[in-house]
Amino acid sequence: MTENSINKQAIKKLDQQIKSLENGIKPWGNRFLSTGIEELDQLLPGSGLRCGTLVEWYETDKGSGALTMALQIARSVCGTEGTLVMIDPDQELYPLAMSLLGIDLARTIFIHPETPLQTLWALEQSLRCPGVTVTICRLSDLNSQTFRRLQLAAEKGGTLAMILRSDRFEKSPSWSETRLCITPVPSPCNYFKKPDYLTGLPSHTQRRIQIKLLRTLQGIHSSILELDINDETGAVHVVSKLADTTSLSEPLTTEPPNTHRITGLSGNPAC
Amino acid sequence: MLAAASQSRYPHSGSETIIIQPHNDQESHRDLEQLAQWCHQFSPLVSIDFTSFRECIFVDVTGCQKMFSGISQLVTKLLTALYSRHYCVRAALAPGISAAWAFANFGKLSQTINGSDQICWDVIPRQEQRYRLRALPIQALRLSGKHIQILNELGIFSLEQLESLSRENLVSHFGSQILKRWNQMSGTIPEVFVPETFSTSFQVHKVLDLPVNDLNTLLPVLESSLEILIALLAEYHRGIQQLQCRFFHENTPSCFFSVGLMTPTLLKQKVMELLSLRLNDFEISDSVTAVHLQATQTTRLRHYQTTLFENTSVLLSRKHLSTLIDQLNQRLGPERVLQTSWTPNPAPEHTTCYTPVLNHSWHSDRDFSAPDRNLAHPIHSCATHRPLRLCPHPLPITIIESGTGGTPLCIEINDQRHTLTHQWGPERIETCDWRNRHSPSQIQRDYYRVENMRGHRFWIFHCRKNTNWFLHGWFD
Repeated sequence: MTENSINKQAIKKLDQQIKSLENGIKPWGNRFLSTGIEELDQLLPGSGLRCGTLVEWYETDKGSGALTMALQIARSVCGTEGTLVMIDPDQELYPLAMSLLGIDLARTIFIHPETPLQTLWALEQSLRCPGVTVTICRLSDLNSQTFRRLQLAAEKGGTLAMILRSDRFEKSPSWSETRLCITPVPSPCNYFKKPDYLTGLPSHTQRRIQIKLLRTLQGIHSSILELDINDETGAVHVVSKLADTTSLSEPLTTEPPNTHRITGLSGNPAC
Repeated sequence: MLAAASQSRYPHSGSETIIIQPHNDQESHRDLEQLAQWCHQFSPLVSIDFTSFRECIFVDVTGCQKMFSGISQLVTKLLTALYSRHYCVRAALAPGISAAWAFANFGKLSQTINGSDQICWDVIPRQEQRYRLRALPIQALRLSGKHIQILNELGIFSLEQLESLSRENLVSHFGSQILKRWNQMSGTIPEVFVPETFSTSFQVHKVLDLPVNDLNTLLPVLESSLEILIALLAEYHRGIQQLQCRFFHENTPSCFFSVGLMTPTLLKQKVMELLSLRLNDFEISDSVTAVHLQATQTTRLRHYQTTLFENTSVLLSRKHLSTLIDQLNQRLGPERVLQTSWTPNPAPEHTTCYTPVLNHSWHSDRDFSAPDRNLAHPIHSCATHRPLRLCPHPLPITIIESGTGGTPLCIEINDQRHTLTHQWGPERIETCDWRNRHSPSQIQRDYYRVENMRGHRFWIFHCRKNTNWFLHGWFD
């Protein structure tokens, strides 16, 4: 290990210590879990999602890709021993698709609550349980009191909660530490005509989504990350910027091709 | 043979239909215990061996032959009774426990019952024991798989080959276990026989001085009854797996509810929490005059000794998880706390079926890092693009505009119009059981993945039977 990397590690450790002093003492300390997507980790304070917190995923509509992203991260967080709890009141989850994404169904518990009250109770219990690593649930309206209860339950159990919600709740008050908005990026209009490779955009095995980071531990954000998800392998990678074909003859001045499209629009200076 | 292959060989109707059920460790142990209990009619000393890789029942018949006019008659009667209960049995009567286990599992058993090869048995006299042991494979020593593998690599496959080796060399290479097993089998050192103690009823009945209608008054009564029940079970080293709580009323018939646990326990607090959780939803219509607690399902408690540097977090995590599952089961019902298992059916809505977590054994040794396609049933291994959300029943969609070849350009789902910009497909999924080709359960569908103008992706299909279009899922 080089001296430079040791220094970086020491700085990172000190940074975490300062943040822990700023945020008070949490039962699970400041244990951060990598999302498995390096570029997303870079945008998050502590290079990941904190244990025992709520993460809200806002989606525009069904079929946006928010659940895919939540499951990708759950797979990474659960690792080889973690347990995933899926609370599915609509009974719409398709286990075969989850298995294709790499989720180990042998370590996944599906809960089918009958009423919204049962859904909240099951969510709170699973968040309170230290044996559960990640809980994923789709919720609609939540009052502040219930939200706080969920946050305290997650804090007690150390479970990472992924809550999927409609984007109409984006402006409502929240107890989540991380809030992300998922928007699908439409593929170019090449209906039956142009092959995918000519467009430079996602092929039929890929889909592109935009993740907008609304809030993290550090405060309000508005960083945007565009990702390509491979439907077949479940692999996620950041969208590479293509070189401009018209400027091939011109000298490369400002930005080299293949720069990651991570845009800090008006974010925190620390990002 | 795969389950799907075996199913296809047999007709779906008639008496020969194959029934495939998933293996359940706990149920299997319970059945073995019941069988051991039944064996008590032949000997007062019966024990179960759960430790070996092949579970078995030991029956100590020393002195019992007098009751059955001889040892052969005893064995014949026992095995005939098992045969009539449709068991396949291999039994060996030997002077020691290890020798009996070895001959029953690996020995050549010459005698049968009613000429059926489903029941084989033999008596191994003491004078023949050593000679006959030599013909057995080294697996008969009940050694670990690692030791067996090393011995096989060295070209040692039978006990005769092992006997010719120097004892000192064996101990230095494999430890004292191998020598101990050998001596136990040949009868030179004693073995401990721990008989099972079965009790059919673990129950406590408490009559109240005055009829009670209040839950808060009933809870301390239940707690004290549970304490007595736990003390009773502790004597037998058994834990509660299912508890029945019955209330006797003054004027109306008694009512009851049951509490099931994922792992057997004798922890009063844990059981009381589950009882109170269940009582929250339980309506007591009349005043209670007596309380009856019965452990309807008990399992032998197993002690687990952790090693010095063992990571106990995994054990703790499993303990917490089993508590959570118990709580969820009590409040929501076992049919709502589920795990999936695969079915050999290509219809997307039937690829998996949900089973209560209580029926599953909790796995912990699977590699989680890569997409585990082997986990899926082989029939689904070719599936690539599947939506994460699937409609339980396909939703009919209205085609507003069609393109060339009849593929939709604009569709309406639940009064919401979607202009499609992309489509990928078709992927044909159809069931091809020629025996029931006209059955409504047979499907013939062409699936398409489509994307609307906003980038949302759907899974739609064209039904080739009635030419209608349906929405079947969302790539969420």
